[in-house]
Amino acid sequence: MSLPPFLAGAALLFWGFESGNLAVAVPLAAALEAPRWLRARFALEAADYARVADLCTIFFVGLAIVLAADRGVAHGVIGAFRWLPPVLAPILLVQRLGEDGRVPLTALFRYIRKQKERNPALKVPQVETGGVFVVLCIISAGVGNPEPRAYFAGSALLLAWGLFATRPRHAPLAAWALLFALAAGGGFAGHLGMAQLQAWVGGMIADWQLRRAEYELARNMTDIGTLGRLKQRDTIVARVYGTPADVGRARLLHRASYNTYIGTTWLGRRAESEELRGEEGGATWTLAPGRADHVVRIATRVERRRTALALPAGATRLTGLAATEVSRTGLGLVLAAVDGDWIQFSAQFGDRIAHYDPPLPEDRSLPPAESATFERLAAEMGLRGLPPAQAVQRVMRRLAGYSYSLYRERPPPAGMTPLEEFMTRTQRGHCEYFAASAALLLRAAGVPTRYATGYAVLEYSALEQAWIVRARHAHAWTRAWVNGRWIDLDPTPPDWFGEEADRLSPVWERALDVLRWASYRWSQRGEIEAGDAWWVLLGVLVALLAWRLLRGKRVVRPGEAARLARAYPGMDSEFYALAARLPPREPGETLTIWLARVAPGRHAEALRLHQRYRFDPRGLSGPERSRLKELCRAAAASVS
Amino acid sequence: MRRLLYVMLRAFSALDHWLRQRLTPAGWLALGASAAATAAGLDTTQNASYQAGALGGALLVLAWATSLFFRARVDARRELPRYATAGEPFGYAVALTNRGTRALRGATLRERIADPRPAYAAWRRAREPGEERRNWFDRNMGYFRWRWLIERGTPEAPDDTPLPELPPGGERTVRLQLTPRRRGRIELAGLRLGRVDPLGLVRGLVRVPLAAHVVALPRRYRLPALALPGRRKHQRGGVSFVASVGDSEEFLALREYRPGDPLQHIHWKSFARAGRPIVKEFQDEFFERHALVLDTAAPDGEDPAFEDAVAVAASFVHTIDTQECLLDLLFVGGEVRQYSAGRGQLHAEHMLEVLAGVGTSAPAGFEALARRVLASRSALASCILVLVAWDDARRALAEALAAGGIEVRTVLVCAQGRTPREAPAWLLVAHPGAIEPALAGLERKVLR
Repeated sequence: MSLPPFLAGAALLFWGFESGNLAVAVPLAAALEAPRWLRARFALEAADYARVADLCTIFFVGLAIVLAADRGVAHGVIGAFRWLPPVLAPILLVQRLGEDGRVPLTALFRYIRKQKERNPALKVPQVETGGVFVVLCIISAGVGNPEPRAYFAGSALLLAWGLFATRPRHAPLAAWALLFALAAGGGFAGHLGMAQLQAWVGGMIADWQLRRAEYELARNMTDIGTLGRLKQRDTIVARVYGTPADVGRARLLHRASYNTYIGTTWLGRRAESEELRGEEGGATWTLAPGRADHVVRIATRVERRRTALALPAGATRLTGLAATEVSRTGLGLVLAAVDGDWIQFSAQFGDRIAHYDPPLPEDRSLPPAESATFERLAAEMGLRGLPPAQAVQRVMRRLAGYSYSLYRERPPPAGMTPLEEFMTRTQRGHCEYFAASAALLLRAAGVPTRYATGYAVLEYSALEQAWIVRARHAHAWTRAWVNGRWIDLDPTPPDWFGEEADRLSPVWERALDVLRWASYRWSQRGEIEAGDAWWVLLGVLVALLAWRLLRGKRVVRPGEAARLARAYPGMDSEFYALAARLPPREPGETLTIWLARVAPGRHAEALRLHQRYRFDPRGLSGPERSRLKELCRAAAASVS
Repeated sequence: MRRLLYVMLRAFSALDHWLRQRLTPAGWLALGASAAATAAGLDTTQNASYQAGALGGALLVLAWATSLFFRARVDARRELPRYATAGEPFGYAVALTNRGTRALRGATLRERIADPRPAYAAWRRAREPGEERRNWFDRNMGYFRWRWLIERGTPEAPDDTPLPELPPGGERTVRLQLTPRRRGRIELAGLRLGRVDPLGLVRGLVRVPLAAHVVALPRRYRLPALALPGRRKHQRGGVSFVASVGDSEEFLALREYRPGDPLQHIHWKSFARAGRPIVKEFQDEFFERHALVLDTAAPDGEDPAFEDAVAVAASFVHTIDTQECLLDLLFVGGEVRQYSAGRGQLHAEHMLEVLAGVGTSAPAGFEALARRVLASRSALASCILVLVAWDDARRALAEALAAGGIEVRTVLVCAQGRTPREAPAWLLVAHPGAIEPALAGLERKVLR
């Protein structure tokens, strides 16, 4: 299937037009079509084609690696795919400069090349790469192209061009035109349908993700009662930048709060969600009115497209947050729809936690399984009737005598909950024990509380000059309603962080931190841009490679090869001109039978002389040769 | 799990066959382009290539729908040769008559081969040559084995042959060509007429049922002039089987039945008279008899070395003149099988037909073969051993035959890597790809 003239060049120009790379496409298209006017062809061998194909492959892989390192794997691969036509154009160019006008399949596939090396008798077909090149131009023009200019029309035009040239001759042109028009209409409707379908499915998935995110974040399955040692990870999940004073006031970054404790799970019930409106082009989001005396810049890892932000208590305003949607719940959960691996924003916050819902009935209720224990404890501690502030102090004093432990040896005795055992027997546990116990004890004292989760900001990295938050810094604490506002209480003994750091940070973790920092810095840089000098260098390299490839190759003049291949006695017989004017021969039909069929009783002498001219070793005499010429010319004239 | 895999392979092959029959090169390009464009443009908010995918898909669907309108009523008649040769193209004429009311234009013709997909048991049992070198996944998936089994049973056919215009009632003859990839029986299911839709993407098909078969004989090599010993030996009982029913030997006398006498030698009239079985005794005959022993216990299955061993055996069958001698072909095919050519027995082409169907056997089968050859050595003048492996048992067979006064020619056909380290001077070793040059030295390698 050979390509019609100029289709490859047109496809490349279409790619350049759609991708905004006309400056690259125009010279390349001119180069691809130039061999039409070039009289010479090069006698290239399979190894030459293979060398060019290998270079193109290396260039494509290199480009993909650079772009993947620059923009991430997914974007890198898409970016490389967008550049596929110019990367592969040398293969088509070499095909057109070659004597055969085709490329051996061994050049394109190393596997077949190896098979051929193992078995030299293997038949390897020669392929015309033009059709595939046109298709790649069309596809690449559409990849990573969210705002096409005339993509459908251009694609349809190129396909029509190609199909028109290769259409079967037995079908009427009108049938071809009608069918193509119908297909174009169907394709147009189909692509609109596909876009609508995807929008619908995308909307469904986004809703489902939102619901799932809210659902997941509305429940917190604690490790209370889990046996053995808790597994912790050192991965860095956030970095906090700010003055020591500001960061000092943002030691706890809050993600979500819960108000109902069932079994060992905390649930956030009746937390109404509210969509926020972005300001300043969607980069600033106001969470609550109020004064913001402090500000910290937070870089946080994006776990999923809708991510829960870890924010200082009392956060009122987020700036520089490139999110498409932000919502918050009455329990203080802030969800942002973002892209990328890391996002950065500044969080302004005040001293008061002002924007959360006031206490709900759930914030006062004790779970039935724990209520007897905590009522009894509250009575023993004399918490009933105390003002909330004093109750808080008394609870904190009581828990200050407990010790921190990530290890639990055995399950609680029968009939006892883990929290009851923690409060009355072991008095050892991790932050979830402390936070849950404080919350329930204060509720037993009549103080509304919530169970809050997030991260503790306690580790400063001199290397990064930032406060780093690791996955193992995840923390739980208690939020209590005291004197008409929510305050954060952290009943966990303050030495918890040091204990974890000593136990969990091996020496090689420092080396890994350097890699994490380097990776983070790399992800935060701008995109690589190729300057003019790079393009010039690339052009010089390509020219050098072309010179290396074609240097010393035998140049074949047009028609020479064909002439050599077709050099046979009698090839200049005028009978061929006569035959061209008559109806065509069928496959396998001899000249005699054919002539008897298409022109019965005529041109017999011309045929006899022609056969002798072709096959008689003695050839024709001068008068006979003239007679053949004369007969054929006369016959051709009569036929026309 | 294996069953499921087998069903999936069958389904995949069916789909592949369906597409290959219908799609033109432009159709394949459109299919690949549509799939790639749609896959690349799945996110329609970021890519536009899905538009090209939709256009390509619409073109293909429309072309396919149009192709369904192709109708043709055609009578066909093939002039098939009875035999072909593996690896050699053979052509044949097909006469087509248009029985429809409209002229047939732009159609193509192609041979339809009977379903070559192997049965489950054959797929499980077969071993593709070199399969042991494939990785674990490929060995267990069995895809390459599947492909190999299909390919070996399918002759190579050129592209569709264009048909000349066929007016209503008109008849035209076209020539088709096939190249058997392997020896064996080629089952032809019929012919397939095709015509490309106006867009040039999908072929509409009409099937003409016309079952037939061709036997692809093994490839043959040129052998040097062989001077087989012209020693005539006593053949007990004469030629015990002939082409027609009954015996063609000289009648000698009647005698009592002895266990082992063939039933056809019983003289029924005398049986009736005597009340006990009486058999006819014939004149003993003396003539040359040669044995051609093909070792089928190939260590690597039906690899190129085994195929060449069969081809070497076929070359002997083809070359040895059996006008005045008998040539016994012995090999193991489930059990030891023996076929004789010459002196009114099988013709050479029948022997070649037998060789066309030879398969490999278990290694233990060689012992039985050796016993059978040794048992008949007294009647033999010479023996040609075509071996596919070399070990003490094979060496012992050759030497035992030679010790019995028989000329032994031993040809070992094996891959380069399996060449024996210490080969005796009389052993001729030939490797696939260089069989003919090796056979040139055959006359010098005789064990007496």
